[in-house]
Amino acid sequence: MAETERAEAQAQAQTVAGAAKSSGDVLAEDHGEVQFHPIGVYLRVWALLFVLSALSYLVDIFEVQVVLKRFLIAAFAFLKAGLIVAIFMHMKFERLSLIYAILLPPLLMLALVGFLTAEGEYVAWLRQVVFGR
Amino acid sequence: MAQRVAMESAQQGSRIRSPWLRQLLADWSSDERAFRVSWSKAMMWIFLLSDTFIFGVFLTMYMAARVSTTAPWPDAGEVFALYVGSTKVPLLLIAIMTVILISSSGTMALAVNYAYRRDRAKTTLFLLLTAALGATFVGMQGFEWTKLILEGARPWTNPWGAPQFGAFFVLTGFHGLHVSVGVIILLVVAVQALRGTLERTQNYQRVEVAGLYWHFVDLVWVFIFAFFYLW
Repeated sequence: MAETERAEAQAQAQTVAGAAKSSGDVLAEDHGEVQFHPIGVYLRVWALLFVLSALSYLVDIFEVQVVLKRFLIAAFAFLKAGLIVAIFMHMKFERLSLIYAILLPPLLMLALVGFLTAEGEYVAWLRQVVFGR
Repeated sequence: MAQRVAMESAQQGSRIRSPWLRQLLADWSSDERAFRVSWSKAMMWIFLLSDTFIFGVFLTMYMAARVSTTAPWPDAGEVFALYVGSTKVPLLLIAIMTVILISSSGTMALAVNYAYRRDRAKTTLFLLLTAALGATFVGMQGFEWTKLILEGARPWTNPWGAPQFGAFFVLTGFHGLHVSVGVIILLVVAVQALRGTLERTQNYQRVEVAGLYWHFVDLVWVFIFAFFYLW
């Protein structure tokens, strides 16, 4: 509850500040958005990215069964992507309107991946049948 | 509503003759902001969204080509192996490139952090360090391309297996182009930080916006590393 109130107050303050500024005053806009985070957060995420990369490299070297290997590699990749977007790109500290606008549209790619997997497997089957290899 | 449009039109001045265009401009600039961030940041995010689709389509294209081929897929571990002394280490070059790019993402995060603390010297230092790591990455990619091309790899054929492996050139080429552009952006911003331009114009956010682009380049590499090199 206190959290929402604070966010609302902040939004209001920003609106007031925005109204007070003449439109087109782009340079002034970087006041009021300054975000200080302790450097330790970045260093921890940085270290975590190294660990996750090393893990996915190790999965490749130790010949894990292929399904498990691919699952682990994809999982590590999405974990790394999440860390980069959330912390390094500050998405975690943005407002929900921006988060939704940026993170939801790429989900459309899943449809394309679905279509093209079906299509690709069909083409592979055709090649087997027609060319016999 | 009509009153507002009239008011806005008056503000727009009489330079725009077409009433439709005036109305359009009035509607789209009527002090309604969906994103409460600066324009440069919002626009960078929207650019990155479109870039996400470009790389997403490239990766999906590569996936479709790989699924559809009946020839054996080349073993990336073998293709990108390097000799250390006389032992062959699989995928060594790619591992080093990954380490370099992740390091550059870390230095970039520090540059953004110091920019918000208005620390001119450290911001410049970390921006230059990031640019140097990025340039090293591009250099290693040049080495990788040269090695592969000398071994007979082309976008349409290669000595190791399925010709669809040529998607390598599209994926890494486009990514390398992004890294190169990023290095140029970083150098420009570093010079601006060093000369105090950012301080004078109160525009330290430019470092953050450049950082968004740089982290995105790292993000794309995460997926190329996972889905092309390791898959």
